[in-house]
Amino acid sequence: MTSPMTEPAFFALTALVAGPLHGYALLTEVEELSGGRVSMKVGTLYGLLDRLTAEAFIELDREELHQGRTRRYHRLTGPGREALQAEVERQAANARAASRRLAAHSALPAPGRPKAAGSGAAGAVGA
Amino acid sequence: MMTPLEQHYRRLLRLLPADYRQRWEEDMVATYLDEEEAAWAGVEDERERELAYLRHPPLRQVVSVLALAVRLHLAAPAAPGASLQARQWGQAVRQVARLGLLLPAATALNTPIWSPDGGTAAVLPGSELLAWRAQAGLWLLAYLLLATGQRRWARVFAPLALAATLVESATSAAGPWILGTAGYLISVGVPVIALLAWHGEVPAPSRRELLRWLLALPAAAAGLWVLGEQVARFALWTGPTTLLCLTAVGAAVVAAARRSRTWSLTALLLAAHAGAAAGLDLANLIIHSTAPIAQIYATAHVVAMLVLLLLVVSVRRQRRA
Repeated sequence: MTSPMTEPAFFALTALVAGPLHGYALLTEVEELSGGRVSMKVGTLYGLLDRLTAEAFIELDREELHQGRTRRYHRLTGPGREALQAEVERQAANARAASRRLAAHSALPAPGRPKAAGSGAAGAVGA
Repeated sequence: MMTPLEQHYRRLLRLLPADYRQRWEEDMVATYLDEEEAAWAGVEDERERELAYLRHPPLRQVVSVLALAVRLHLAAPAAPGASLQARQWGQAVRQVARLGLLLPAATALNTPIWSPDGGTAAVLPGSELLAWRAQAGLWLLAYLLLATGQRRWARVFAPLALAATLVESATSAAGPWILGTAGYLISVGVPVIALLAWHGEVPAPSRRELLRWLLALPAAAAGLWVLGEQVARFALWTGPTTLLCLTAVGAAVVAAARRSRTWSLTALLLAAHAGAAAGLDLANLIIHSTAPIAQIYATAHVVAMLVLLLLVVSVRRQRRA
């Protein structure tokens, strides 16, 4: 993936780090990892799984019979782990850059608050 | 035994391409039923739990399968795992959106909407003039956004332009406007629907593409000006449907010159689209118009599009054979 990874792809690969999962377990794990923000429907999940399989980021681990239905377990591949690692580093670098900026400007008043009576809004802060 | 819920879900999955279903159908059904079971596991009333398996899949699941079907059937050029056919269909539908938006945008550019009469050569009441200017400006904006790769904004402004066109035609039409403007609404409405199927995986246009589609706008406007100014009969007896028919013919010429399957699909879709618009125009003229020449022109449009459709289909068959 040359462009930034989508959030569902990021959480799906993260969910598979601990071991192979079947579709429903993957859905619940992604929801839990994202704090309930990423709630995928089945159609969305299988669009994502098909894409991740075509990119060789995940592969079939095994099939198990459960209540008369076949459950397919998916596992993370080497390239999948590398792609996730690259995305983690990209996000961490973004967070570091933002943190540095915030720390450097934390002493200044927040934008929009008047500096002193009669001087108007402090619009130039943090530029 | 298969429950009605599972049957409904499997029927829904038939919308997906066959090769995709072969890979994922069983897994999708298992995951979907797992999810349903988990949702109903906490319900104590056994009868209510049983009733859940007689229902249809909820709307949010249906929508997610529909969105997946659109993404798979109309794939992006570099979508991993997509078939060549799905990529060609995707590209053709996106060309229909682009060419379909180009027509009202070029018409807007060709009409001096900023002049006192809005370029209509008629004295319009203020509200009608405003509606006329709004729809023209919105089409222009929607096309420019799409041509420059602002897909998300184009998807906001093109439906707005369509809504403005609806309002404009409803306020300005003297008689029963539904049938009278149905042909035009089809001709501009179909590209808007095609635009909605333009998903996020499609890459932004390259610099060359961007330049080509931006230049297409003044070129199309100049073409319209020549047709309107120089060919008097054209201006008298024809309208937006004629432009759509000419675009379909143009796409077929490009397909033949480049031996391009994508362009021949585009021509096929545009011919069907223009044929439908022309058919509605003809129905309207038969009911409301007393001018036989207009009916003859409309009939010629329908026949021309049917011929083009048959021609493109037979060429495609021959090449496949």
